[in-house]
Order: sequence, then structure tokens, then C-alpha cells
Amino acid sequence: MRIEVLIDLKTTLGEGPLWDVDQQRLYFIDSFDGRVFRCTAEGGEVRSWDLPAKVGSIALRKDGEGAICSLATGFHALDFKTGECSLITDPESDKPANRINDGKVDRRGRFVAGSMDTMEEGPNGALYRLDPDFSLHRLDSGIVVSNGPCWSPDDKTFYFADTWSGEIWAYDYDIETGAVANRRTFTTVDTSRGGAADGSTVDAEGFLWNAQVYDAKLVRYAPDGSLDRVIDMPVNKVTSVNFGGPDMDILFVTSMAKPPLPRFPGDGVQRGSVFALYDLGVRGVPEPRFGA
Amino acid sequence: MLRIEVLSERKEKLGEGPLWDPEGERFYWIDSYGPAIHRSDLKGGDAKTWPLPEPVGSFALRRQGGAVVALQSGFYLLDFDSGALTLVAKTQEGERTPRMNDGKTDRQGRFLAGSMDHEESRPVGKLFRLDPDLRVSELDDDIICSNGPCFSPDGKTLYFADSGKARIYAYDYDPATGEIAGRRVFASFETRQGFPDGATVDAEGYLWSVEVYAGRLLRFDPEGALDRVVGLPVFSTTSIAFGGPNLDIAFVTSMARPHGGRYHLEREAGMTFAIHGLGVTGIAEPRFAG
Repeated sequence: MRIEVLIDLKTTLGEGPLWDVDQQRLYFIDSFDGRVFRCTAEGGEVRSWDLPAKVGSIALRKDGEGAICSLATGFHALDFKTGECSLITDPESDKPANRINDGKVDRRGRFVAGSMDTMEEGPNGALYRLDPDFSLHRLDSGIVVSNGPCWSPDDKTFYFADTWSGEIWAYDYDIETGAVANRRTFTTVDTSRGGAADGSTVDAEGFLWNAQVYDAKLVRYAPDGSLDRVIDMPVNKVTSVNFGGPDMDILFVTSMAKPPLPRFPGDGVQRGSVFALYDLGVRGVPEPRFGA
Repeated sequence: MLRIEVLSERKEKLGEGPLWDPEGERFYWIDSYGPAIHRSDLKGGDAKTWPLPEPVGSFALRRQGGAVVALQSGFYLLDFDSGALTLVAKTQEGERTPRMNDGKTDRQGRFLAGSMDHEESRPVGKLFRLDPDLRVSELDDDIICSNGPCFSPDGKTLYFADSGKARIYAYDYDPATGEIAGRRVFASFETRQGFPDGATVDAEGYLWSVEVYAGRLLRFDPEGALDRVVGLPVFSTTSIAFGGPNLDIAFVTSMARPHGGRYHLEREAGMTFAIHGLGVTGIAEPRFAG
């Protein structure tokens, strides 16, 4: 096993690592500064796009050079060529303290993303599904901070966390309709050192990897929710994980340079870096693009 | 850029005592409960192991070849060719629970090593100095667990941790005589998650302490203020030494023995790590002059 700083941009709130198999490029975002970054598996050829608001997640689109972005001001379509961002729909225009946060695409090209209370206090958030026809569906509600949506390899289970609940949840997922049902506790997160569930991904063996922010930990859970493996990371504020690279065996990990809330202490010189973990002996599953 | 890689995949029960030998360009470390001394080159080649008959706390290479070793019961000389051990002196014979633990040479080639309560609760430990003429002196006592002795670049300050009391001390050290004086608390770990374990001083005179049971390297400035924190892939990190041809690689040991039931989840617990890209160089450790 080897841990490297892939790229040191000191992202204020690095999030949403996303390996695109078609382009063989890693995308990630700075949620706070409203930026999208792209680089190679070696951290080279860095490009970035400025967004007009804080961004929770992005999904690449099947048709053309663009992305769906979950901005604080609603779901937007970003044109990578022009850099222009156009509104698709804003489900929470009546909740100025909310913003849309983490999201991911299911294997039928739907974008599932949830919102959060930016003070991380009130259960004012919801979980949404944006379909390829741009119709929006609310899947769940009463959420403080949405994080870590991802699916089992057979598409039958949807995983999702409300960060400060101290749990990661599982739902039955209907891949034909995109409906969720039967929310239950998948696993309880060890919050004794101040950590909480942030971004997740599911590997090819169906195990879930979760970044436990403020606790410097990546935790791998078995499909039954039991702890399988823990990796301590060079920084406390690790935020999200995604497998990528030519062989889908590099784990990319984002982190934040500056926490959104002042109660969390600093993280030293590696703060806000994107890390790459090699030789874990595990591969990921390619992320689908958004669209029919 | 920071790069943390596994140098040795051996899962040591209690990896400790990392030491770079600039003459032979080899890296040494121990498994206290192996018990054994291990050696390899920077790519894991030229590997050799010297098994030992009782738990080993520390060792230093000798100028004339072989090593001086602090085993549970005292100081011994090890012949690397034959593997034979020769007793120098038992340190706390007849006392019930101490065992010798961490040690290091001073800048003149004396070997300082301290003992610890095997159960890590009573202050039965002492700090000893082994001079080149193989005489043993007792320097301090009332120690629960001796760890991390190391010296300022000018050799005039000795840093030494009592892990059981969660603090690192500094002493005035007389390079001419090896006497200590003026003990004060250099850094307290009372509000930290972990405890001070092995340590080394870099070329800038900053102290690197391994926070065991927290998986972190802490760098302190010469006044004891925390300067930098580097997290490591495992929780159970134990000791640090700088080495490599440019003395810019930090070698870090860890332990695989269970603590609070969680280490079995860390596949890398007990492995030995090489950390590149810290932007800091170390000071070559002198050999034992005896």
C-alpha cells in the first residue's frame, strides 16, 4: 500500500472525486469555492471551471461535453467548452440556508443528490432524483447533511448517509423505476473521536468505502455492514473517495483545507490535497454518466 | 509531494527502533516481541534477521561492528556474523516488572537507554547510560515507560519521553561527561489522543515524535511548540528515524499487537513505512563508540 499526495491545491472543501473511464480523467470539486477540477491519474494536465455558486457534486453527461452540477442555487447544466451554467431546476429556492450536496449517477443514468442545511443543524434537507428527462423526484426528506450516495453492484441496494446521524443507511432500490424503499441502518459509524460519514463508493466486491471526515479515516464495510478494514489518512478532514486509474485500482481521496464550521481544528501542510492510494488490492466499479 | 509507502510488509508485533546506517546504506529496525533485529536496503533487498532470546527495547550499531542491544534484562553486545550475544550488564536485576526499552547514542557515541514497567502502570523505569568503556550509569528514575531519547544537533539537550506520564522532557546534557541536569517538560500529551513514543531530531533542530495510538507524527520546534502534524496509514505507529542517501526519508515503525480490538482492521498494522517528501532532513546517528 502506498499513499501519495496526487495534487496539492489546498481545496477549501475538496469533494466529489469522480473518475471518468471514457476520458481517463479524474474530476473533483471545491464545494466552497464553487470550482470543478480535472486532471490525469498522475495529477497532470489540470483544468478548472468556475461555477456561479457553491457546488455539492457533479455528474458527467452522456451527450456531449457537459456536466450536471448540484449548486446551492439548484441543479444546473455546465457546458465545459463555454463554461456556462444554466438552471435546470431549483427544488429549494424557498430555503436559502440549504444547498444541494453530494450526488451520484445510477446505472440507468439518473442523478441522485441530496441537500443539506449549511449550518449542519436542522433536518431541512431532502434527497432528490434528477431523471434524464430533467424531471425531478423527491426520494426522502428530514435530512441534515446528505452524503455518500452509491449503489451495490447489483443495483438492488442504495446507500446514503445523513452525516450527523452517526449512521450509513441502506434502501431497497428499484433500478427500473429509480424508487427507494425500506430505509434501514446499514452500519453505525464510530463517532467517538468526532468523525462522521462523508463520501462513499462501492468497490467491485460490493464493499462500501466511506471517508470519515474529521477522523482521518477511510473505512471499508462488508455488504452486511460489518467493519472490514480501516486506513488512517495523513489528514483528519478526508471528505470523499472514488476508484479510478487505467486499472480502476487507485483510490482517490479528497480533503478540505478549511472546514466550513470553526469548531474543527486545522490539518497541517497536507490540508486540502487530493490523495491517491495504490496497491490496496481492490478495484472499483466505473461510474455511469448522466443521461438516457 | 508527500508519499507514504510500505517498506516492509512484515507485521511486527511491536516494531520499534528504526535506524539508518549511512556507512552500509542499510535500514535496521526491531520487533521488540519478535524478538529480533531486522535489516534491509531501501528496496527491501539484502534482508537479514537476527533472532534474540528475550524482548528487545533498542539497539545501536557499534563502531567496531555488530551492535549494542538493550534486551529485557540489560545491555548486551551482538556479533552480527555469529549471532552470539555477550552480556555487558544487567540493569535492574531482582526487580520484578521492568524491562529495557528505547535507546539511542548521543553525539559522542555513548548509548542511552531506559526501562519501562512491563505492565505500563508503575514508575519502576530508569534511564541508563552505557559508556564506551562499558560502564553503566543510572541517570534518572521514577519512569513508567522510557521512550524516544534523542539529542539536539549540538548535543547539549537530551529529549526523553515517559509515555506512561504522557510527556516529553528536555534535559541539559553535558557532551563532555554524559551527565544530565535541569529536567523540564518539553511537551505534554495530556490533552492529546495518543502518547509520545519514539522520536528523532532533524537537521533544523526540530523534534519529531510519534504519537502512538493516534497514528500521527508530530513535529515540535526547539521551544516545544507544535509545528506540524502528519497522519499515517495506521493507528499503531511507534518510532521514527530519518535515513536514505540524502537523509530525507522518514522511516516509521508500527505494531500489530491488538489494542482496543481495532488493529485487526488495519491491514498495514505492524508494517514499516518509508515517508518521502516531508521536505526535512535528519542527522545521521553516531555509532556506539565502545
